Amino acid sequence: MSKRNMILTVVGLIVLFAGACYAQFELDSYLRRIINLCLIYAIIGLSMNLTNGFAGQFSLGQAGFMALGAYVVGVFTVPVELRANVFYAVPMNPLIADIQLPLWLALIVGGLLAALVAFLIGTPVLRLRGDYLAIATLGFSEIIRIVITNAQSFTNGALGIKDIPTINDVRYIFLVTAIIFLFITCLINSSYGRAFKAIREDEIAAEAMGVGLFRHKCMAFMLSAFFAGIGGGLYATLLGTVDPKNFLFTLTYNFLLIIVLGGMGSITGSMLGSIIVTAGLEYLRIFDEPWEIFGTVIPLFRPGFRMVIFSLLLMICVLFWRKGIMGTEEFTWDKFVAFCKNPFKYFTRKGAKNHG
Amino acid sequence: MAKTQTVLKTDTMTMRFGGVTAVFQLNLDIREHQIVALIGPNGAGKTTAFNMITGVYTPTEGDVIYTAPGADPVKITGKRPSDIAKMGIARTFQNIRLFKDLSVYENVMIAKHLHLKSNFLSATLHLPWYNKEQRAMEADVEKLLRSVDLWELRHEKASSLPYGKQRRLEIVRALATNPKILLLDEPAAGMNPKETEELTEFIRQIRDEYKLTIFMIEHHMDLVMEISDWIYVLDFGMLIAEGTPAEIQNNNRVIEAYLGVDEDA
Repeated sequence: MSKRNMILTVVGLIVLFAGACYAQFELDSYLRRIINLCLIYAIIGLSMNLTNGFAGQFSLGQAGFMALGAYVVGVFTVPVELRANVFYAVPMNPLIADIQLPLWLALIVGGLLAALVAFLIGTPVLRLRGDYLAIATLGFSEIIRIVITNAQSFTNGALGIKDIPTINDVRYIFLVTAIIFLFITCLINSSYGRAFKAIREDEIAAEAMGVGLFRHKCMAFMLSAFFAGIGGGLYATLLGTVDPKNFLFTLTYNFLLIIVLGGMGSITGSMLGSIIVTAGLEYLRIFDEPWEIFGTVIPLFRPGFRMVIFSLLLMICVLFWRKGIMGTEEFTWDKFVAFCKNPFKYFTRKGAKNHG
Repeated sequence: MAKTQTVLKTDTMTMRFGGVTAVFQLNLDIREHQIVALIGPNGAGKTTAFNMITGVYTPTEGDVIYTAPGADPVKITGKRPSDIAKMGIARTFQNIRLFKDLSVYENVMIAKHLHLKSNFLSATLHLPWYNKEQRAMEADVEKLLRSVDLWELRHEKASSLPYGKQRRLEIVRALATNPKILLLDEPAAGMNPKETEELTEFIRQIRDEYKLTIFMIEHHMDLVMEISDWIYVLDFGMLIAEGTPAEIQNNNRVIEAYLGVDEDA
């Protein structure tokens, strides 16, 4: 990275952090919540992009790993004095009843637990390819959820955990997101990132060039689970409650959507996808209420209709823009500078290159 | 010519797919610094033999024995392809298998990954010892790409290169793993006579420059006869002849395998 780009990155981060501070003090809690959800979804989308987009392994286990992170935060950050109130059906297991962790530690423990589970699952499952891997990971994510539902003395079972200390603090979540994005950017730009991409492009050739398939797939899978765990933990603190039903396998499709829309194999694409999906689902709510035009009520718009609109938008995107917004491209300062210098020339040059 | 030390040996190597015997009791003996060719009609089992040597298939019977320079012979039968690549056996593929969407530069850099000592954490954090390794890799790759005139094209996508350059890039990518033995699967496939001639020169040049042993499958007889020190001929999975180019050209069984038996004679 050149010196100019380094400076631009630092400046960019400071500006974004200033934006986060502004959001924290000036915006109402509803908007802050949407921003926080965007950031958290971006973390989990990016973690899913690591396996699906960069290493090319079609995994659908994100909801399960999120649940692990969320539950570690849920179980260990509820203040000890409130626990009897939360675990009213079955008392909390005495092994963990007196352990309370600060949020940052709980996030890391949650991530590590998710990575450990990913390792155990990955050992048999990562030998599968394509659709088979997707089905197996989907199944394991449901298994995680069902284990959580039944381990009542640890997780309070189907009743869920409430009274989790919430943070609706944009700055905190922004910092965690920024660190994770920087980490994954550096990983992808290292020799290991190239090895992941090699596996995505051609497994047989990658292996013939000395890239150990299992080792690298497992590494990508565990890192993906780790960050999904952290994202899940943040999700729990944002909601204030966790419940096994939050982590149904349908949750995974939100993130699949984010990375397909943003671009499989694009870090900045994950961020964009997350903003579009989260904000889109929020602001399309206008379609959930009946519209009244010139005194006549259009009965078509009713609760849930935004999902129809959203699905239509998605289908259009997938049909006409198969690679998503970014494809495997990234936002880079070099492109940005070239664009600022001469926007017209930037696009003509790019167009010429694409057709040439 | 004087025989050098054996680097790669197969001992009654056999591969069966269900009831079909693709390769039967193949004994190869490949000597250091030679160019050895494996020829035979289509479906003779040549690529299957390559796949067994490089670990893609595990032989049903028999062994593959590799002797690294200055080391004792070791069995590599059934080892993983990535481990075999690390030991110093690199290959190219019959139908080019480049990392199509990645740049020329990245294609070659990936082949350098197997000698990386830093773990993923020090690589991600770009710690000093990783950066040192990275710079050494970059210098190597630059030297390699310059030597084959691909340096100017390093930012192009691999799939956008013309066919001949893709073949060349695949060989360079294999070279980047620092191999002792290079296995080329039909390097001249689809090339015109002029390109074939250039390739002949190129193979000789890399053999001498990187002190390689080259084992190749090839159908262009001009190329094979000109360049090979030793030729093995495979037909229906069995070795039917071996020898110097002159011996092979006059071998009746080889002529029969290629041209069919003259029934009137």
